[in-house]
Amino acid sequence: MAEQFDLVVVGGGPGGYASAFYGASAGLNVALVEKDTLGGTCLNRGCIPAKAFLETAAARRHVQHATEFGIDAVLGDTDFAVAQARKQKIVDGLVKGLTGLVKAKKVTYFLGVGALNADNTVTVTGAEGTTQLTGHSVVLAAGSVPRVIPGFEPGGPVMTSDEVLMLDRIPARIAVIGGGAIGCEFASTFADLGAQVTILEGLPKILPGLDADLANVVVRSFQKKKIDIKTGVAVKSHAPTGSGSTVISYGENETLEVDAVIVSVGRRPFTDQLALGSTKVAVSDRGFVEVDEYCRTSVPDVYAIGDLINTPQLAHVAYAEAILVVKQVLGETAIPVNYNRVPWAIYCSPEVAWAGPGEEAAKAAGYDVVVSKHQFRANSRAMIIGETDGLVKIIAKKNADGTAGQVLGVHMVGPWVTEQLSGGYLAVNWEATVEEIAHFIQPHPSLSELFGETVMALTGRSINA
Amino acid sequence: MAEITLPQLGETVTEGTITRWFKKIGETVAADEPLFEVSTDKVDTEVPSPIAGVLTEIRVQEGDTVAVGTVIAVVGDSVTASDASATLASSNVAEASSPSPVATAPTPAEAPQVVASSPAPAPAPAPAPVAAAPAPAAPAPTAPPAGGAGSVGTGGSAGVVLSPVVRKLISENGLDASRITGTGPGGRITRDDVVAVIERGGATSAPAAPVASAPAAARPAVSAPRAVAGARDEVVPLSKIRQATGAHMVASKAISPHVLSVVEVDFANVDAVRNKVKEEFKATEGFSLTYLPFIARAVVDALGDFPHLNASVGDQDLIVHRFVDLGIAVDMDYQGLLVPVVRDAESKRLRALAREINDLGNRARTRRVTPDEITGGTFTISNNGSAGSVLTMPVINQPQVAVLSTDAIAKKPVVVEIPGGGESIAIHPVGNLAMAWDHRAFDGAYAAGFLVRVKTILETRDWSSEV
Repeated sequence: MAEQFDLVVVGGGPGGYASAFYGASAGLNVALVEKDTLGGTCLNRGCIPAKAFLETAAARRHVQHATEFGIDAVLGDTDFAVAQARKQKIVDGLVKGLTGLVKAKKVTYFLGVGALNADNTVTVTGAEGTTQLTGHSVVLAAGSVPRVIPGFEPGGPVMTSDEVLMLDRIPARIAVIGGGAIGCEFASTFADLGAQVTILEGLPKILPGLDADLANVVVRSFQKKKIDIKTGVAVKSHAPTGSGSTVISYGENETLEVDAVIVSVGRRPFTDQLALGSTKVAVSDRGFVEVDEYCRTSVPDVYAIGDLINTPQLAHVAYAEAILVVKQVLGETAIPVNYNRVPWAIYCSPEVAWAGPGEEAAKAAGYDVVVSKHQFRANSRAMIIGETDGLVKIIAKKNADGTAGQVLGVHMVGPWVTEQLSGGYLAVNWEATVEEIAHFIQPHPSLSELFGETVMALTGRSINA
Repeated sequence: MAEITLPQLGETVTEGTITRWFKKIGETVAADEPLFEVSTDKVDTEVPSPIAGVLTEIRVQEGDTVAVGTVIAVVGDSVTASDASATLASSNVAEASSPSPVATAPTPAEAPQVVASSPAPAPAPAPAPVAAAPAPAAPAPTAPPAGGAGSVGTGGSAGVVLSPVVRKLISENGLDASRITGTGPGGRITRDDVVAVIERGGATSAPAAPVASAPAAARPAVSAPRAVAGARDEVVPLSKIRQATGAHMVASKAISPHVLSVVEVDFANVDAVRNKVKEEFKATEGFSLTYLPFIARAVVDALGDFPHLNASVGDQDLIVHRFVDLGIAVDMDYQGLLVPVVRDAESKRLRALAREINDLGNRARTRRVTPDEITGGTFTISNNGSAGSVLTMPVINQPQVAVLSTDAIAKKPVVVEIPGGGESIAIHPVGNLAMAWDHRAFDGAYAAGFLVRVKTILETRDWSSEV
């Protein structure tokens, strides 16, 4: 007999559990289907573990520089197994928290693979057989898996993020294939942990799409870390040496011997087990479930969110999409996500964070812009913490009289900028002008003063610059 | 169950005073049955219930003033009101009867104007050039496609999410968010959307103090003797509409140098046709064919020849309208004056004009016109003759430049030419058309030329083709 719910959610990652919990908090009777562990990629194989390792790298950096602060610390060995255990403890704690929320919010949890049927019911196949779920609405949130490239299938020294995050040692020589956000985070982590890292990027530069001024700061910082960045090169194949390492062929007959190959060439939507072929849910030729701006699929009452659809692959975007969908299910006013203005964050060292278009993107979109950039090297707090690489860059619309108007984009690179973005995020999304925010006060001394200073500069005046 | 909100009564109206509830709690109300009466700075109007049901809650008492969009009552369905939210959730359909700027069907946005044709308007601070910019009807195409079960909720205007800075921009310019087409996701109003409205000249003046905008000059001497009520006096409070009319009249007299020009019109030619068709007209249309539609038609045609009377005075220029939105002043049984507007009157023939004048007049008298129907006229006719006066100097309805009074038509001896030569005295229906006009816009010869043109049309046109 089919069990009846208001909402059936397939997938227990950020999009899925946010749908379930938000819906349950609004009084919906929710079923949540997850085939593996609550928390999905983000918590188990993505953001959270990766940031945990980045923090291990940060701890090592601090010890490295401790003598500058008068601490007589000696940099010892890094026991990555300990870092791994610490990460796992964090992850387990968070999974436990989610499990508690499932119970507290009275969400009915099904462990198994959820597949959609033509009549909008969901079949859950678990260890103990199958269950039929009927929901008034269905949310597909099955997430994504790492893309692989032919010849570099995971195994031995070749790994994707899934395997990297389970390492218990630090490979001495690492090639990171793909210089996007994930690749740069791994490169930064392992370089700070003492590995010799090479980035192999097919495009002319790493972090493609990022504002050039920010990307240049990252490149210079990476060079200081002795990360070798090779751009415009295609990888061809690799040949294991027999001693655990492998030799990559790339570019114009060049080779590189490494102990680990991290393939980070993006993630693909994971529709594989949803059985959409038997339904009328449209899937694009790139594999994304097709939705409108309200995350509605081509089948009424079936929604898709998160990495399954062609929107920014960010957990917080999935959260927003979850709320968008549940509000519709509740019959409330639903406001689509403005994907051009979501917050972005890359947690490499130095961190990168932004909202709204960069300078090139704003110009390409047809805006006349006024731009202001300020460096962290003149910021007192940055000097105090000893991390002065980076800048804040604000892109504003140019008024007819040449002055700066509405803030289009706020872009930051440098220490803790992922924590500093929120003011800029609000400015962009509230469509504030520089005049409207210039009189707001930043604490002193703080890193966030640089944002205030940059805004003020756009009004034509300044204090510290 | 539905929450009843104070509806958007017009684009410059931001609040209203509930003056009367027609239903008590527990009483049944039918859809479209009058539920309450609301008084705004422009008009008192009866508001029908958007749905049928039982009035379960009154949240705003008579005499209280609340903002547009405020929930003022709850109408439940007659069976159970309490489990309605569950029904809503599972039916997945937002049955939003309340106005929702986000997902309602396209509403033609009338030109957001400073101008109020009503004598009880949002004040017109000096004839605003804005008057000339009739914004094109702006549909709101952003409602999402009806995919799912029409599942995008519309939760009333409270559901509009505006950025604080956009909200401030809207408020500073006296605009109404529900009248701005949003181009952001889900029809959200962006800063650019607001700026575009402002640049189109759509800024509606904030309903500030009427006289304040025409300061000092507006009431030069009025401040001198202050009326004090004595023991033998009765103090009658001035209604909102009375006060607003007063403020507008004072301002108009201060703004425009008024001049009066009058012509006497022989309505025998009109009567020849009117008498022939009036039985049939009454039978088919349901109301009597008066002189007013003939005069309106003649005025509209004459405005084509004398366009500067269909205009507004700008800073350094005269803004001439290429359309005639003809205001018709309607007395509400001594309780005030309203000027509903016949839109695009230049495109309407006699019968259509008659129908519309009759409909607007009836609704104005019963306070069922919307504020939008009484704003934005380009020329006004005040039908004083129906009250019996023979010569009236009306006050210009700002920012228009002329207003025509149609005075009483009575049988009078007139000199007529006898076919075959000679003259004789005959008994004809005769009345005055008296026009107050703004000497800033043109001179007496032009005004007289217009009036004579109206007179000629009335006296010589073969009206049988139009009725």
